[in-house]
Amino acid sequence: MLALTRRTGQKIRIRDDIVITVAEVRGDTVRLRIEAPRDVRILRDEVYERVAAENAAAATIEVSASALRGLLPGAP
Amino acid sequence: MTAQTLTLTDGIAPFAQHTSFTLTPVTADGPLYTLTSTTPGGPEFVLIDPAAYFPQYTPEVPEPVVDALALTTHNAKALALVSIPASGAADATANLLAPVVLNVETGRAAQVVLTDGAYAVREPLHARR
Repeated sequence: MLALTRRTGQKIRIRDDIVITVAEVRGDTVRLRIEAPRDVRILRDEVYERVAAENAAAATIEVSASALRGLLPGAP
Repeated sequence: MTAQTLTLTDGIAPFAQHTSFTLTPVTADGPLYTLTSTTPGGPEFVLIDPAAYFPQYTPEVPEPVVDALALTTHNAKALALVSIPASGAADATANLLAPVVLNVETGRAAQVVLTDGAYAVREPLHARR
């Protein structure tokens, strides 16, 4: 866990190939520019958390055959 | 299709360490599938082929994912994770915001979070009565 203070235009480098630049600060809003290899997934954290929460809810140990039938298109 | 092994480099959040899954069609021609971690005790999911429920659903897969999975129009498939609440299958929803995209030839896959704001993380499978 690391806390750094940066001014507009300053950067943070993660490992060798990820660079975060403070592009602009306006009021309490910070615009960040992120350079990273294409295979590095970058998301607003609240989006990641929402998807992770939904995935966790979707993870089941087993689903009954009748529940599966209820999922079919047009099931009553 | 028959059962297939999928490899997801980043897993499925928050189960990041589960990178190998078996994708099994529930019926011979879809649209239901199960996705089961190959690690015993790992997560198991139910998925749908969204085309059977949402004909207008056209997820735009970001280019880095297209490249990473070597997707073409012929080998790409997008499936959606299903959540079933305690009230039962009639209230089931599909995650159209973050489909699992796979290359059907290689089994390489990833869960992609779509960023154009058009799709819901909980889209009801059945029309509300």
